[in-house]
Amino acid sequence: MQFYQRLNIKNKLLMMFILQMVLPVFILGIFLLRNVENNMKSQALTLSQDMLKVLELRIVDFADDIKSVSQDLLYDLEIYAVLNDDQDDKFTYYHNVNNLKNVLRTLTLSNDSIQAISIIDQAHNNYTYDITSGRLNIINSLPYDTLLSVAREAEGRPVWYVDYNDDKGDIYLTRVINDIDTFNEVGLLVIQVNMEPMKQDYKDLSSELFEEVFLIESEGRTVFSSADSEFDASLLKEDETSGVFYEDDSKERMISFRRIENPNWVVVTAISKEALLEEVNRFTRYSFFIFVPLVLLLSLFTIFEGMHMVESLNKIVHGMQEVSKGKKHVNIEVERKDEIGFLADSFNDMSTEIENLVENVYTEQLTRKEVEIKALQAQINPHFLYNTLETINWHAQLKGAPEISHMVTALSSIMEASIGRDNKLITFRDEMKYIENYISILKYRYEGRLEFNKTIDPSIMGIKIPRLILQPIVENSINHGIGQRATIGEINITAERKNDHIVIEVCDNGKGMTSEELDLLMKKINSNDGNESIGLENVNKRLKLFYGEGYGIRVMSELNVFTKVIIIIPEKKLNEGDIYYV
Amino acid sequence: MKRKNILSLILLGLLVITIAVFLNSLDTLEYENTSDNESDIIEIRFSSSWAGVDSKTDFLETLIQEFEKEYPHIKVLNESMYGEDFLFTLKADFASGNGPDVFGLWPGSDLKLLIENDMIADLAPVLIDDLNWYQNFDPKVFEFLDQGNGIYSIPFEVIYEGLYINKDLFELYHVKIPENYDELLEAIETFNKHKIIPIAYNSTPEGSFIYQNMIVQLAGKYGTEHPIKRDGTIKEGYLEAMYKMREMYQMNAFPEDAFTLDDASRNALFVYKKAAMIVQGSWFNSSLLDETVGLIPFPIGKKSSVIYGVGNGNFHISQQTYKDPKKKEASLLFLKYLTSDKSRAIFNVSPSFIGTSADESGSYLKNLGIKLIQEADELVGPPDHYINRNFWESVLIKEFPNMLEGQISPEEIFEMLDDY
Repeated sequence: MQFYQRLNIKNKLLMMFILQMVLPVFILGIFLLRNVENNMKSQALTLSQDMLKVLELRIVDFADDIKSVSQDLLYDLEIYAVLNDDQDDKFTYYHNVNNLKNVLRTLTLSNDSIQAISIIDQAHNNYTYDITSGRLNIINSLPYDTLLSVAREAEGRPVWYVDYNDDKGDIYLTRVINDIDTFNEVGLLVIQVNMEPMKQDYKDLSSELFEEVFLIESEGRTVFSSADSEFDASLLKEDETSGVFYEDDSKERMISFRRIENPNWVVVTAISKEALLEEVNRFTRYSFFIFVPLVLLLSLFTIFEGMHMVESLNKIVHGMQEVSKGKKHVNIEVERKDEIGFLADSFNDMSTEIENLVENVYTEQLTRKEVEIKALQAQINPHFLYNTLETINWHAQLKGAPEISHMVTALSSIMEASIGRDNKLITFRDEMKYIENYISILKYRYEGRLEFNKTIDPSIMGIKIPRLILQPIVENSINHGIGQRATIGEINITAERKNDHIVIEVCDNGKGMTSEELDLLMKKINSNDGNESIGLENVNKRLKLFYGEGYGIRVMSELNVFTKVIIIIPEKKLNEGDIYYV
Repeated sequence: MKRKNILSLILLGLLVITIAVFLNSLDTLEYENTSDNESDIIEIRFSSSWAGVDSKTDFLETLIQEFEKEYPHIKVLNESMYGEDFLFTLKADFASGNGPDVFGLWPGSDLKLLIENDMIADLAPVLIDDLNWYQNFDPKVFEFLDQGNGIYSIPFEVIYEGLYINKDLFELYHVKIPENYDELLEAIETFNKHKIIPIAYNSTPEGSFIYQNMIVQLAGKYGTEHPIKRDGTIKEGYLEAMYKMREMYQMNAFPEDAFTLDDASRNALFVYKKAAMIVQGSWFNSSLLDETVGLIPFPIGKKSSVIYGVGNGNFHISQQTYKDPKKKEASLLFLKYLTSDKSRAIFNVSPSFIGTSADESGSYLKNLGIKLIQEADELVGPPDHYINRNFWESVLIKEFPNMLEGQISPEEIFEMLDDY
């Protein structure tokens, strides 16, 4: 599993292709071919068994014919007449012998499969008819003792024996002759069979497929084969009446055999596997030649398509790596309309979004830094200044200068507000107090030319707002409005609730602005270049950062009449412990 | 289920299929072999003399058909033969190791020889194991067979021999039914006058029943069953019977063509009322005989001695068969079926069949036979059971015409017994 996980997608795709395409085709191919091969072998073996069954029937018929001849002979009283004759009466004896020979001649001549019939009595006299000459020529080659021995074991029943004393095996059917009245053994009956007609049948039966047909006798020796070769009978299983097996490990020939019960022989046929599977092998070769190019082409297709897919994915991965390294914006070019294309598009959108967000955060951080720097500038050793102002206040009171004391107290309050302690938010009340202290100091500067009015909804006083929002506006009104005129300047601050919003207006009756000047100011306030920061712009940015883009300041003005700065903020309830960078 | 588990299962399935395909594709050699079914049927060979014109032939065929219906896996090859061919073939088959599996054979020297040569199976253990079967037979019959410690024969049928008479011919020609030898001779004379053949006789082994009946009447039970005297000569009863046969022959008591007549023609002479008398056995009973036929012991001796014995319905299993478990089982099944009550019911329809159970009764002729047995002073086995069979058939029967013609004396014939 880990190996698979470690594989890259290209190799995974290749592996999946092999699993999905090559493996099933390969397995199915093997399954089909092997089954066809097995089926053909099974059919050939079944056919061979049928053929062997026919051969078996022919051999059984053949054997039964010979056995019937031997049984017929034993029903013939001529045999017993000769075998029981004590030969006292030579005339009767020769008469009986002549009768017996007639019987033997008739039976031999009437049966193609009989070479010779011989009857041998206890005194080893034999009465024989041989088809080749009619003379007693088989008696010289007859293995009498062996035949007598095997015949005695069979207790009167016919028994087959194959003699291999000379080049070719002589096949005999033999049985002892027992007297029908005493059941005592009186002689031996031997029939030598002529297998030539059957041999020819065997030769006719062999073909390209059935290479050879063998007849094996009970001792495992080959009685004859269609190709005059020997068969290793030790391969045959003793306990099976019929069966099939490979002749040897080379598996070139399949052997099919059938055991014949009586005579106890085995018919065997050797089937050439090469001849049998010639068609299958040809089909296999053709299939191979078709299959291999198909697999190669399909593999190429898979690799090509996989590569294209992987390439797109790699582009996305590369883009992601770029982003993770810090690049703000990466655009991936993928010409796909599928899931990967969608992924690439989504990535591109995401990259753009990230860039914007980073830009915003960056700007916000810059703005905050600026405010913080300003605040720090204002806080240069504020405690020292504060303590010094307290000392001045104390000295002014000792020297009886209440104006100085008043101014120092006001300045001290402003500084206290500027230091801001820890809270970034202050109540509207504190902000107003700060404004009032600021104006009271400036009143000394403007020597009665400055008036300050406020109309505040008392319920607003407790609401928290970002610190030092109004001071830059009031400072602006005084510096750029009232300060530019010689008449009494008036500053009015109103604050009220309107539809879940708080509307704060700072209005002065100063110099005012032309509409062009007002437009310029508004552009400046809303610009983000940050190069030349003014108080209003600062306030506007902080309001937007704090409350959102929908909020900020608006300025209304009329030249030589008034300038009104309007702040609209949502009625946002903030907890005491909340910290905001404003 | 986790992806890992699903993948593992899929791979496992793939592995299983691959292994299955591999195993299925192994190089195996198989073949269809449906042609050996015939070996399921066991063939058994049966032989008896119940064939041809024997009145039990049809009943035997019926019984075999019934048996094969009940036991379809057993095929009974009925090789029964009628007449003298039966015994010859049976002996030749046994001599050549080709004996039938189940066969009927009357007691006698042949059966004795087969038992001595261990060619017949001892069925005592089977009878002991199956007492129901054993009780099917009158125990006296087993005693009668006297086979020593073994029981080789299952006696199913008893036979008797006697003088069958056409009562209507006797009445027609006012002939007294003979009660002694003289009356028999008188009857012969009377019938001769009326051109009626007095006694249907021929010179085959079966024709010699008349001679055998005369022996038992003249020699009595002991004399018949122990035919050889201490000095090696034959007992008088056997010789005297021949002389009396010659006497009757000379009185033209027998058909003119008696020496060439076959058994069926001989029987026909009596059946179709051309002959007044015939010595026959129970197997002679048939539907051809009606109530005009009577049955008496051969009227010659002082006592009424009747030839009685177990007939061909005396069944055996060959030793060779007994050694083959399959054939033994099938043969025992057939033997038990052959000697069952069911079989008895089938054969009882035949007038020639008298079973071996304790209480037998039946048709008119059968009752005549039963009466003959019951009223007999003594029951004697057939003489040919006690004389060498080979001598009986090869010499005695062959020489009988010469003896009747006076060309050879009865003593000369029995002198030849020394060679056997």
